[in-house]
Amino acid sequence: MHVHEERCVGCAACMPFCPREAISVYGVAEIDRERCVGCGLCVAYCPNDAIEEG
Amino acid sequence: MRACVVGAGLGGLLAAANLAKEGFEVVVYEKLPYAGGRFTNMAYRGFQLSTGALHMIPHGEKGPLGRMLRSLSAEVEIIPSQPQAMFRIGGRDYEYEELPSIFPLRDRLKVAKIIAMLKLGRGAGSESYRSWLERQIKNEIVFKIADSFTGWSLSLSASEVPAGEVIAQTRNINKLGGPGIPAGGCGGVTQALVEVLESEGVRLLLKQRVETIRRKGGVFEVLAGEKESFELVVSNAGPKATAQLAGEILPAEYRRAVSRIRGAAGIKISVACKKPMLSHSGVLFTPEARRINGINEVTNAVPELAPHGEHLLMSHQRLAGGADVKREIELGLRDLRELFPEFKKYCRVLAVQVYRNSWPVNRAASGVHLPPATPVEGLYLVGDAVKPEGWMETDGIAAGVEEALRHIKASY
Repeated sequence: MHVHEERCVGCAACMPFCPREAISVYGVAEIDRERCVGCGLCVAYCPNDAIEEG
Repeated sequence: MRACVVGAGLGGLLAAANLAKEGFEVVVYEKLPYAGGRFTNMAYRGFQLSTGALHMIPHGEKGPLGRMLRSLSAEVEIIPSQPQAMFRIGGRDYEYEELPSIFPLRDRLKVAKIIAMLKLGRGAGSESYRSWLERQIKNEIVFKIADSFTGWSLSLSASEVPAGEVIAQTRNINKLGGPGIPAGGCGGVTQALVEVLESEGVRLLLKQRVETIRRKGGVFEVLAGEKESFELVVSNAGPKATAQLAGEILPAEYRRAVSRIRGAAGIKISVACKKPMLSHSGVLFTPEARRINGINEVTNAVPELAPHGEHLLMSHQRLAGGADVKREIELGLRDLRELFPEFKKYCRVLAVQVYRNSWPVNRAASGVHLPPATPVEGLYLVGDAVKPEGWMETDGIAAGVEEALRHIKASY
């Protein structure tokens, strides 16, 4: 998963939906690549189209 | 008659429910996998956080939202905050009525006069609330109290909001009373509205993004996966996104005006507490904090928003344009640690949420009064950019929907 920093507002709407608790948000979302399994839920739940697969 | 609602935020859900009751065949398109937009819950570690708004309705069950929910038979209890608000000044908490007493005698009368003027709703031209206050008094604490109020409720400083807007809001507070907390939080309201839509036969389509809105043969052609035709389109996507979707069917001048609308930004910090940090369910305004404007602890009214025996505290602070977001967050966290000496022992931060740009506190700052009707007949706006004067937050959204419905009923 890749976060576009210019589109991410830091609203954390993605955070609770991550089944692996791989997302931390402090002004902008960061995804822990070690924990991420690439399920793509964060992509769907982002209101700002700021997360992309890959 | 077929009506299309773009976006299932609070404004879209309210509009859809009302239009269905009026006999329209309604389809709601929502790009996200959930309804409610910035006004619903997200469960996190046993706590009910929110996607945006605080779990609070400015005028409780008596305001436009409470009234509209009742008229739609949306079943949601709204528990009045008790007391409505406290102000922490010099380490002590005061009620609104007690505020004059904290000032030295020479200012006490002036503060009492300001409170009376706010109540009577007199004496403001187009000036800002800050400069209106400066004409009445020179006292830093007064300005800080004003900033904490406008920061909490509007995510603006007192110099960014017209005095007339604040006076109209104060009039509504005096008339209808202060906030209430919906049982189930923001999500309780959203869920109740989704149930109304279901019982009215409204099609609520999630993960369905509207691509374009065009006009063809006297009807609107909405492209969202497939093309569908509607006599009426109500957009909850915000004025800028709506202008993009509708493109050339809106006059260029209107699109230019919309592109210049300024929003309001803020930061919310949600905190889990092992014991209550506040003794009440109202707002604690924090005029002397570095950044935080106010705090509430909704579990004092609705314990279900936290795991058994725990509490959910939420702070809100205005985010000024161009500010360094990470530094603003740090200052907010420092405020929390200083406001509550036991913070380190009993509290842990669950989430820091920033609302700005495409996911703001408000898509139009309070004081901007964008009408729900657009220059295109049959195309309306609802949501937090369309709040009539004097109505804030979610009550502003409901009052805007009321205004849109009055127009629609008169023309259909």
